[in-house]
Amino acid sequence: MTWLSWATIAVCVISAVVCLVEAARGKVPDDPSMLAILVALLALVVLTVVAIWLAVTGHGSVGDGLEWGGYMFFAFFVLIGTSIWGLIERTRVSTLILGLGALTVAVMVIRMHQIWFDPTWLPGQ
Amino acid sequence: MNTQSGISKRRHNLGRVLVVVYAIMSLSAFARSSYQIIRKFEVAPVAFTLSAVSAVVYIVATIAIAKGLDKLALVTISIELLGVIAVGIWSIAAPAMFPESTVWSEFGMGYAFIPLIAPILGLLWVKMGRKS
Repeated sequence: MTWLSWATIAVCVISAVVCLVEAARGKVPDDPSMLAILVALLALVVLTVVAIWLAVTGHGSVGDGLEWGGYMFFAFFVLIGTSIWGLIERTRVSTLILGLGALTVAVMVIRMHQIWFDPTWLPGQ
Repeated sequence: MNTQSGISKRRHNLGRVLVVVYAIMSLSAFARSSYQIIRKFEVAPVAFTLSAVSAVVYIVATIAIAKGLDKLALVTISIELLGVIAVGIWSIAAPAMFPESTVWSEFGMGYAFIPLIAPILGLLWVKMGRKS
């Protein structure tokens, strides 16, 4: 779970960078950026499946599972929402938005990582 | 491209980005406050009520910017800016009132200061609308 969680965070950051670079080049959402988001979505699916399996077999999160699940639900929501937007409004701003969404999800997965392993840790403490 | 349409195009793009930033802030404030109220309201009623209020303000601001309702946007964005500054000062001056953090605590530090930056950009967006 440790490495899987970090791998997911890395995938989201890389996806975000791909989208932000594409946006900087003035590209509309297309193969590179949409594929990057798709990979990030797949990473979230894998993380969710493994997390549910661990929780069912009694090795669930140290922190509150509801809070973890809440973050995961909205992480999917952000990625799917920005993707739909990117398919409807074909401008470079949509590519930028895909990147910002992926970056948000990376931060959310970092928070989920904390909830899973050490919920007492918060930034600034 | 003349200056007029240059401003309105930039305003449109800034508006798009703001809608997404605000939609994400609405979601996180809404999710966080729902979770806090369901699980542990009695721990920090002040902080959690503020979380819920900020969630509502963000949702209204998102709709106002998306629909181009300048006056409503100005009011909600101003509330946010005052909220993040007031709660920021309050949470540092009286941390005992905030045993659990809110979106606006420490000037939105837990959210990469986006709660402080977003309303400033939002006010800029309203101002650009006045010019064009």
